[in-house]
Amino acid sequence: MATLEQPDPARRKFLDLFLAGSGLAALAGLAYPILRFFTPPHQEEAVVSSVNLGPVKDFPLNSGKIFRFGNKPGIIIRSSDGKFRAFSATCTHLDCIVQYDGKAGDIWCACHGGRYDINGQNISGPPPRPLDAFSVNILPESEEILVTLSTGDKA
Amino acid sequence: MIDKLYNWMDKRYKIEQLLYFSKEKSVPIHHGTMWYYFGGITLFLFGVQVITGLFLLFYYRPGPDASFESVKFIITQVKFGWLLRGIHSWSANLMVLAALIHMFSVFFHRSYRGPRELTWVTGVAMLFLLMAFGFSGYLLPWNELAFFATKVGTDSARQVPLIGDFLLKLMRGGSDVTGATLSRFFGLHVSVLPPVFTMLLGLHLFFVQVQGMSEPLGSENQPGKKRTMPFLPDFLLRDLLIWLVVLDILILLAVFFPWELGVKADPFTPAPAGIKPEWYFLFVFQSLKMLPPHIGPFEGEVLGVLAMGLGATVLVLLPFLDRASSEGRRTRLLDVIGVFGLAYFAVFTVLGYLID
Amino acid sequence: MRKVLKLFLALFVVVFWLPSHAFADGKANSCVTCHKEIHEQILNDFNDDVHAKAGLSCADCHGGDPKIADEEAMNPKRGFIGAPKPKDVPQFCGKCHSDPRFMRSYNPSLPTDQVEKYWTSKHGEMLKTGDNNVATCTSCHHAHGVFAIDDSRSSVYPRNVPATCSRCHSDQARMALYGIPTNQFTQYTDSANVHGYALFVKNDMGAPACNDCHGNHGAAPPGVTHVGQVCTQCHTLNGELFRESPHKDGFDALGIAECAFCHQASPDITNPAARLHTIVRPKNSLIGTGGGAVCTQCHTNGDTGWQTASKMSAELDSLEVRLERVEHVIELAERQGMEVTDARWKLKSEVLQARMELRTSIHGFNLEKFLPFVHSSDTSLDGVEQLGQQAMQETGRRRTYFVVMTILLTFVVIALAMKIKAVSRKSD
Repeated sequence: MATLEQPDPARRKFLDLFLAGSGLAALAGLAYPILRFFTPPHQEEAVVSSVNLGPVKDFPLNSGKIFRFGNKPGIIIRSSDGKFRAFSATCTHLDCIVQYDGKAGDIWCACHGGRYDINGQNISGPPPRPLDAFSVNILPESEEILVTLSTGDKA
Repeated sequence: MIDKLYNWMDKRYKIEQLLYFSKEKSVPIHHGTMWYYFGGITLFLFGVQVITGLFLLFYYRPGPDASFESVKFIITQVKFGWLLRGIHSWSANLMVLAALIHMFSVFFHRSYRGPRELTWVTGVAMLFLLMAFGFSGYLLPWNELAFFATKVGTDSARQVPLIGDFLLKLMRGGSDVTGATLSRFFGLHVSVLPPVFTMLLGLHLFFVQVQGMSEPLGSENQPGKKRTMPFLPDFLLRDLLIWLVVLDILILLAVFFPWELGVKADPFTPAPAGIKPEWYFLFVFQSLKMLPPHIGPFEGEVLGVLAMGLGATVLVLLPFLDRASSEGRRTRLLDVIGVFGLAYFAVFTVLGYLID
Repeated sequence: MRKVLKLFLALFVVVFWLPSHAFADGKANSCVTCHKEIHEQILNDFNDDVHAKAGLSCADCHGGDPKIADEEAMNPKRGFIGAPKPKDVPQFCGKCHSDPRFMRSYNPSLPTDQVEKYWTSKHGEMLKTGDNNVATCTSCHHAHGVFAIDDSRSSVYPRNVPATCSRCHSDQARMALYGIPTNQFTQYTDSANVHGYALFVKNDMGAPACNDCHGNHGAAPPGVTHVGQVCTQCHTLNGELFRESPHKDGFDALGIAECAFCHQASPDITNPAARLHTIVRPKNSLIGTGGGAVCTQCHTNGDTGWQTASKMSAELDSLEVRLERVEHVIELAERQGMEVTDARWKLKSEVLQARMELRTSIHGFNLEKFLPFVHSSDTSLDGVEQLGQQAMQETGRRRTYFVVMTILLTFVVIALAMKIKAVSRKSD
C-alpha cells in the first residue's frame, strides 16, 4: 500500500532514458542489416544468362580467350576476318578446357588431341560431339561484346 | 513524450475506447502463469515471419528456372540475406513449436472451456493454416530435399477415399510435382494464407482481449485472494522481454546453424535416401509408413488418413465435446488422452528420424 | 480331246516355260535356289550384309552365272571361283576393294589400300610364306555377314575389335606356334586398364582398341622405338616432351617400350613387357624415389635422374597436400552458407588446369621444364586460398554481428527488467 516507496522521479527518468536508449541502439542494430539488405548487391541478378566481355578492341585478330559464363568456362574466338564466335570451352570428350590454335585456325584440346573447327564442330580425335555455341552480339553504343545463351537453351 | 503522442491520437481516434478491454485486462498470477507467454511468443514469431517474408519477396523469384538460383543469390550475394533467410526458416520451426506448446498448455488447463470455445476453434484453425504455411514454404527454394519431401507428402493425399486423386491434382497443380506446384504453393504461401491467417488471428486476439485470460480448471477453488497483474503495462513488458530473448535466439540459430540450401531439384534423378518431411509432419508420415498394408477389408493407409482426419476433427470440436469442463469438472480421461497424444507425437517424431 | 490338249499345254508351260522365264528376268539366282538348304546359315548371314544392301550377290564375288539353272553355272569357264583358299582371300576381296574405280561407284570415301597394307602386316608376311593359319580378311570381317565398321553389329566396330583379335590371339595352342603371348586381351579388359575402361564402360568410341595402336590392315606391333609415336597421336604434349627427353634414347637402347613401360600396371624392369596392355591411371607415387616409384628400378641414389625424380615427386606431393587443404576450406565455408562460387571457378579453371600442365611437364624429365609449372600451380593456389580465407572471414563477421546484437539486446532486456520491477512496485 502507501508504505511502499514510489520510485523517485530522477530514477524513473533514468530508467526510461536507459530503456529508450538501449531500445534505439538495438533497433539500429536491426535496421542496419535491413537497410544493407535492400541495397542492391554488386551482381544484380541471380541467374546468369549473359556476360559482357568488354570492348571489341581488347580482342586481337586470330586469337582466343577463356572467359567465365556463370560457373562454366567459355571460349571466345576472333578469327582473322574479325568475326567473333563463342563456345562452351568444356571439351565434349572428358571435360578438359579447350584452347584456340591460332596456327591451325581451329580449337584444340590438349588432353587427348581432340580438334574442333572454327564453328565448334568436332573434326578429329576423341570428342564425340560439337561444342555448344553461344550467341555473340556487339553492343552498338559501347562496342562491347555480349555473350548470351543460344535461344532455346538454359544456363 | 509518449503521453503527448497518445493524447494526440486519442483525441482523433478514440484510442482510449479501443484499448478499453486491454486496459481493464488483468493476468492471473499462479503456478501456470508462465504458459501464458507462449501465445505471445507465437504471435511475435508470426510477426517475424511476415516481416522477413516480405523482405525475402524483394529478391525471391518463383519458378523452376529461378527459385533455387534466387535463394542462392539471397544467401550469398545479398547483404545479410543469409540472416533474413535463416531467421525466416528457423522462425517457422520455432513458431510451430511455440504454437504446439501453447495448444497443449491450453488443453491441459482446459482453457478452451465455455465461454472460450471459439478462441480454441480459431486457434486450431490457425494451427492447420500454420502447417499449410510450413508445407508450402518448404518447397519454395526448389531444392532436392524440398522437392522430394513435397512429392512424398502430397502422395498421401491419394489415400483420401473418393476424392483422393482430385485432391492430389489440386495440391500439385497436375499429376506430378512440377513448376505448377511451385506456382500455386507460392501463391498460397504469400497471398492466400496470410490474410486468412490474419483474420483468424484478429478474431482470436479480439476474443482474448474481450474475455480476458482464463485460469486453469480447478484454480477457481483455490483458497486465498487471487493475485493478478495488469495486462498493460506489466504483462506486456514481460512479453516484450521474452520476445527480445526469442529474437536473440533466432539470430543465434541463423549464425551458428545456418539453414542449408543443398542442391537444386532435379525431377529425373532418383530420390535420395532418407527423404523426410519437416519434423512437425514426421509423426503423421511415420505412422502412415508403419501401418500394415491391409487392416481387415480396408487399405491400411486409407484408414490411417481417415484416422488423422478424425483426430483433427475431434481437436477442432473439443470444447463442444468436453462440456464437462464448461461445468467445472475435470475429465481425467481427457488428461490421459492428452498425455498419450503428446507421447505419440514425440515417439513417432523420434522414430521418424531414427528409422530411415 | 480338246480338254486334254489344254491340260497338256498348261503343264508344258508350267514345267518348261515359267521356270526359264523366271530365270530370264534377272532376279533369278540359281545359287540361292539350288544351295539354299546346304548354305542356309550363309544365306541368313548374308541377308543383312553390307554387300547385299549394295545389290551384290553370290556370283559377284564367287563368279559363275546365276542365270543358269544347273551345274553349268559353276563352270570355271563362266568365271566361277568358289570358296577361296586362305592364301587367295586377300586377292579375292581385293578384286573389288583394291579397285578405286570400282569402289567409287559404291562408296567413294572408302579407302582402297587395305590389301596393300595387309601384305606389310605380320599376318600378310606369314601368309606369303605359306602359313594358312594366320588372319586374312574374312578372319576379322567374316565372309557373309559383313557390316560397315560404324555399325555396332560389325566384328570390327571399335567395341568389338578386342574380342575379334582375341579369337586367335588368346588361343594358346595357336599362338604357341609363333611364340606370341596370349595375355593381351586379359590385360586389355582388366578393369584397371584405362583404355579398356573408356571403351567398354564409358562407351567412349574414341578410346584406343587394338587397331588404333597396332594398325588395321597393316597390323604389327609398333617397334619399341615407335611406341611413343603411337601414344603421341592422342597424348600429344606428353609424347613431344618425351621425345626430347633423355629417356627416349635410353629406353630405345634398352628395348623398353617407351611410354608403355612406365604406364603399365606394376612396371618391372626385369620383365619390361609383362603388362603392356594394361595401362593404368598414373598416381603421383609412380614418380620419385619411394615405394611404388618406377624410377628407382634404373636410377640409383645420387644420380641426376634420382635427384630429378625426387624433386618432382616432392613438388607433386606438396601440391596435392595444399590442394586438399584448400578444397577442405572451401567446403567448410560452403557448408556454413558462404559464397564460394568464385573460389570454385578459380579452382577449376586455374588450379586444376595448372596441375594438369604440371603433370604433363614431367615427361620432359627435366627440372628446367618442370619448375615453371610448379610456380604457376602455386600462384593459382594462392589465389584460391585467398578466396577461401575470405569466405571463412565472413563466418567471423557473422559471429561478430551476433555478439553485438546479443549485447545490445541484453541491455534492452536489463532495462526492461528494471522497468518491470519499477512498474510492479507501483501497481502493488
